[in-house]
Amino acid sequence: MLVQILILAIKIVCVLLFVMGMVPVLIYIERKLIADFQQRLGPHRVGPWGVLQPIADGLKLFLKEDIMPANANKLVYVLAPIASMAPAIMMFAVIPFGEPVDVLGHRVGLWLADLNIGLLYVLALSSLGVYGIILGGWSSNSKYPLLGSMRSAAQMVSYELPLAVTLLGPLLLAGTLSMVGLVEWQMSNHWLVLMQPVAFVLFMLCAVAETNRAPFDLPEAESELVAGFHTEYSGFKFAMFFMAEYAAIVSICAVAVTVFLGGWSGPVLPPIMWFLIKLFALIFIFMWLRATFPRLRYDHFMQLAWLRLLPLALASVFLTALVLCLPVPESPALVAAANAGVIAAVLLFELLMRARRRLVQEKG
Amino acid sequence: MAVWLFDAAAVVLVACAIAAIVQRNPLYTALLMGVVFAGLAIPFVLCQAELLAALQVIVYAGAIVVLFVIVITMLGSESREALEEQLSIRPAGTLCALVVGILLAALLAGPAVWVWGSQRAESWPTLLSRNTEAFSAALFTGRYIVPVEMASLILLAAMVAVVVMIVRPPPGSNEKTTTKQ
Repeated sequence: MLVQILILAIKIVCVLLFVMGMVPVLIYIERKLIADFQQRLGPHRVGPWGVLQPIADGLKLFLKEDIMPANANKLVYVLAPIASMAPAIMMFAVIPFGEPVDVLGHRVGLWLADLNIGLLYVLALSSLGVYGIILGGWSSNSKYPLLGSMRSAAQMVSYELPLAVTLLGPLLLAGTLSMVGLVEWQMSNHWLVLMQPVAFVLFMLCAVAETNRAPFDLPEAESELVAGFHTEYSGFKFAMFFMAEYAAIVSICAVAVTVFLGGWSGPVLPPIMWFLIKLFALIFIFMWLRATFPRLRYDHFMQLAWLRLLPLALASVFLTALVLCLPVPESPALVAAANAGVIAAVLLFELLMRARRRLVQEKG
Repeated sequence: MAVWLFDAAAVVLVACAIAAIVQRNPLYTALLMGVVFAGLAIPFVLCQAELLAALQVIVYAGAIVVLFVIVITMLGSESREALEEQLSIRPAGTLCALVVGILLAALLAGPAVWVWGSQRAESWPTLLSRNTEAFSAALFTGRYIVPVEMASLILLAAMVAVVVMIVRPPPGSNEKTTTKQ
């Protein structure tokens, strides 16, 4: 009993250290990558190749004066950074990092908890993430933060829907909500990304929007809203919002790795290495997107969620269910083909509608 | 362990619920309500009803209270005070609260007496550990499939109705002229 509690405590500390340790690493990688994309040098003064830059920045933020607007709601103002950081970190409780290992004669799974409802837990926490942003924007008692938080609330509520729907397809196939169960199913069958390519792409798109990253970073659009919901924040509290954003990226990518990319499974290398490789690959995509695409206009952005992503996600789920109902042995090729069919059909429909619109416009 | 956790959760939840009612700041009320809704997941988990716990957080804390918070933050504090002065809603509010309180007490007293009498609290069933499957099977393949589908259809109809009501272009809209330009 005591050993189990000790093991659990060590696991909690390890997961916390992992999430907190990832933040400076990601900031450094992101700055270097964006610099490469834009043909600049990026940070290179502090430490060899500038690797100590995030630590220097962090120190600076911690030592800075903590300013609070005069008419801010003090309690909520302090609460908001905590409310945005907690869900992002809590999500890691159900992420399996690797296969169970033997430690001192105990079989220890490399995850904190294998919940029966792992996926629902993830969705529940991602739906709580919006609190920090709304409260932060409102409590500052300032115009731009309020506008930013309103945008963000609409955005997160809109994109949560397709995000949840895209997870239904993998759920139908694997028949389990447990994250460990999902990985084990994929190890004995196929990675779900092969059978649910549409759902995977949609999930990643929604993940970018859920984490308020470019090109979907409307809540913090510098050119329109100063800095969005955290305009009035400084010092340590600002750093917490910053860390929450990166922690959210890591956690949503970890969910994608677990659900679609087979979690820790892979040949030759140890399982935890595979998990990290896949995780960093997905995070790289996030940064690549930021370097490549300009920010969307607000109405386009809402249209994308409701008129494109949600119907696509629903169609993908429907076709997956249909294939599973067919009286043929379930084959990955068939499911994937059905999914590819969705894309083809939707693209065709889109092209037809465009052509029709152009025709109507030409006629006047 | 479970009883101890339940007691702690119960104390916190009741305290938050009372605070939510006593509180004058509407945003605090909404937030405390969110805490109560999210915290209700703890008793559910202790009853091994993980699915209900997750749905509780997703639906109530994640969707409904978020909407409350959005609405409250969008209403300025000035308009709120003005409204309160104009309507002088206090007597009516007290009356409403009394009626609702009595109804709630009656509703709660019935099952409570019943549970007390039959000693059901002691024989709380230790449910199947995989009750999510059992629950979904009952909902989607078992005897409840028809009500579930009916409910989803009714909700769909309501959603379509809302969209139809909202999307209708306002009279005299200058849509045409903008596209011609």
